[in-house]
Amino acid sequence: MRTRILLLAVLAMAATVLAAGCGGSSNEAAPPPPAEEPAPPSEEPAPPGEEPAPPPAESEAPSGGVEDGGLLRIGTTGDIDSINPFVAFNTESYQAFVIEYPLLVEYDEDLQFTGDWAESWDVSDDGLVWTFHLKPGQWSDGTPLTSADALWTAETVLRYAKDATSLLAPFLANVGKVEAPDEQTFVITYSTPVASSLVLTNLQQFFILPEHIWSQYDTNHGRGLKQFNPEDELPVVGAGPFVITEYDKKGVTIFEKNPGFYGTEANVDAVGYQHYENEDAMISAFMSGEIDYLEELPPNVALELEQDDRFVVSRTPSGHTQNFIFNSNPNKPNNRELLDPTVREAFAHAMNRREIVDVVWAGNAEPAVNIVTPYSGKWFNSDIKPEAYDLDLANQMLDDLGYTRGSDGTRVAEGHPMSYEVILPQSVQGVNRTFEIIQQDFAEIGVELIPNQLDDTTAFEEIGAPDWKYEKFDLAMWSWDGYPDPDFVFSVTTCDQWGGWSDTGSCDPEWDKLYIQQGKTVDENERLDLVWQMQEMAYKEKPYIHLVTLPTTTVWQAGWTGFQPSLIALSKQPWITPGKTG
Amino acid sequence: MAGADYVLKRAFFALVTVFVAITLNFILFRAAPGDAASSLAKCRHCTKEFADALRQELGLDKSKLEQYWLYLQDLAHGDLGLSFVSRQPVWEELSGPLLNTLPMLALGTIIAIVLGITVGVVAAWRRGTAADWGGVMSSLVFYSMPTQWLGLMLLIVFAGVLPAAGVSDPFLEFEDPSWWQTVVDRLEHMILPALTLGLVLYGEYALIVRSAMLEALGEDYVMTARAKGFRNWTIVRKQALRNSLLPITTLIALSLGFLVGGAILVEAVFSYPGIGLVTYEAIFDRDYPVLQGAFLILTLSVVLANFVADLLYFRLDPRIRTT
Repeated sequence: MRTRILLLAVLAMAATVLAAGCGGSSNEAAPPPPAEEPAPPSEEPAPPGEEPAPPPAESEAPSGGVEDGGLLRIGTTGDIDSINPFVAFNTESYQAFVIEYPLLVEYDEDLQFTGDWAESWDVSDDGLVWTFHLKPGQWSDGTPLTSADALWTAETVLRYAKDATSLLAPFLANVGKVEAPDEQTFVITYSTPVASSLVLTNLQQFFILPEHIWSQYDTNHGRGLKQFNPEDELPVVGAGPFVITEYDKKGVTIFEKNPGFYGTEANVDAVGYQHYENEDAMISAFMSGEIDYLEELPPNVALELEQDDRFVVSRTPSGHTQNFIFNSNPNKPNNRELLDPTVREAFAHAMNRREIVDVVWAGNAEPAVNIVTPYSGKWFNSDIKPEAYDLDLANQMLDDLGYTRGSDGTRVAEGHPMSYEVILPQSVQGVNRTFEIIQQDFAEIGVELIPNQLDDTTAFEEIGAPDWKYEKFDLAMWSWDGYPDPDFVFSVTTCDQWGGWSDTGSCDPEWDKLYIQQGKTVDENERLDLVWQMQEMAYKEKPYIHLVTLPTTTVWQAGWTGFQPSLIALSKQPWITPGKTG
Repeated sequence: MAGADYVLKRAFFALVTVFVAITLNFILFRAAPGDAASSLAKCRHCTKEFADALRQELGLDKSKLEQYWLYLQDLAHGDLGLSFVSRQPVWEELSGPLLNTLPMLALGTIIAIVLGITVGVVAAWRRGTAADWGGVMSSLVFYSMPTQWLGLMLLIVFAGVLPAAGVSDPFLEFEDPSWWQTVVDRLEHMILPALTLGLVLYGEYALIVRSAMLEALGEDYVMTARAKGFRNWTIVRKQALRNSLLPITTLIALSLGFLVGGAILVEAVFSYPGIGLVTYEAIFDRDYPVLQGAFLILTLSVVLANFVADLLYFRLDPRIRTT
């Protein structure tokens, strides 16, 4: 589920936890302010394990000879579930909003923050007041784009934060006040200190809507906003490089160039975003030239297409990890030996990550060690290495715990066989083959694993069962997608996420304390220490054993150039720079 | 009078079947694991008040019995309800896809009938020859093939020749197409899914036709015709095939009903935006109203096809009229 739906967007939800933990703390002495301008590029990502570091982004910068005009046809198995930002949930929808609407900031190719609609910004000495200086611009229907639009959007989102606008509210978490002193200035005042990286990460998904269109739907306590279907009034009024002129959730959505865009003009005239229900059909369409660019490609297909001169395959680092999950609810009633960090460590030594990388991912993955990956640059704790694959050691550790083998070879722990069901969600790529490898190795250490394949919704509910108390399941496998900032992926193991994004039932007050602390530590070096400390803690307690981290694999027709896959949904650039080669 | 009795009885059974199916649909989807409210709320951090308001708005706060009664009431008024996901009327969600599905099914059925009858007749007439063996083997192979697998194979084989997905080329409008180009484009998109359905059905049809033809060809009236010196083709067409039509006609009528359901697999393979694909997605979204609507259509099509088969039997087989 999480690889398809917008976990990234909920990154900011974590800030809600921060807010909960910061009640009444607004009067605390503020830490030193961050830099007034966007931070300089951070150091290179640390190498994962013993492997050489991947390049920060294998994007193809637009070169000379790019033709203007034409249509870019993108194929995806995802779908834009709605073009109403108050309703939409999928990553593809958020990508559409990044293209359609102004954002204060976006990421650059080094994954550092840069201005989108904001020309520049200043931060007050206490780190609470952020002043954005905006570029002049207009909406696609000719109405001037001013700070009043940002003000209306922010005030509306904050007003109905617990109800109709709850999906967007996390991006304005901890905001106390918003102001628009003049048409080109927008000021956000936070009620409590928030790490600057976290502020900008959230604001990168604060889509600014045209007040003159949306304000008329602010009815029935904001619920009118959710009921409005922008597709009923096409073209959708936006201010980005493209605006939506046709929308079909399970078909094609057409984005046409917006000549009034305040930024760099796009090379192509239009982008067609075609949904495919079936990956094979999509690849077949791509190979026959019906599609110009695919956003996600299975590794085995990538290997095949790489051999063909007609196509260009690109791999860029991502924050996508696949993991083996332990039910970490401290009060889980059954199989409590699985809460023991020594058992978890023994299990980790039975994980043959190298085989998983080679067999399941044909070498196109890296062994993972933590939920924060090298994609996060300096935030990744490079001191921590994956546990060595050592079945003898794993056996020894379990022997030392007194878990002896029964007559069938399965160990007995606390009077019951070490035989556990593992929930395998349907949508996780390669999950079955990965499980088979793990299952085989676990048999060698006297632990029986039984697969339980479920569709994603059911799998997630089984993990939380009964009624989000996390009492029933033992083990599962799934994946996470992280943003460069690690806040969100840390949030998923907080107590607050029970019934939210938690897939471990983990609840450790010490972890929560550190999580809140890192979120409000404005000094970046201090925060870095905390972030590294949290990774050490996660490594020791192991709510997850992280298996592999996967790159984003994309492919395009050789006649095209200028794609920047590492910036998908992070910036408007991925749709501005592509063009046909001259 | 016997005829009217027969039709009334059949109509009554059809109605009872539909009612039972409606009830089962209602129960089954709610008994399945997964909660519609949790997937539709899509915001686990929303306040309880928000979730409650959502449940109230969708009628999920009422007891199951009450929901069932309201569902029946709405159905009686021809109202299939609102989709939980899009909040649009279910009929609007289903009617467009149904219109995409029907021509594709029609084409698939035509392919199956033409191929099935031709191969069945030839195999029976040339019994024991290579033509018979080839016909029977190909029928068995296609009949036993999983629909989705056959679809994938066709997709790979025809990659680059025929469109792989969708109901039309979404980018054609940028070329300002003529009416004829639009029709050709639609047909091109329909061929692979229709061919998949047609080939799977063909196997079944050909085997039944062959078997019925063999039976007919062994009858005395065929021998008499031969003795009279009629040409082979005339015997096949006028004597054997006409008398074999009874089981074939009913088989086609019955399979038409199941075809709508069979579209689920084919449409998922070819991303063909028909009723099968809508159903497939509604399952994952736990969109009960759309599922109920889609299954109602499937049920109605099966029941209607059965009813038509009964009537055809009545018309074609004089033995029924006399009993």
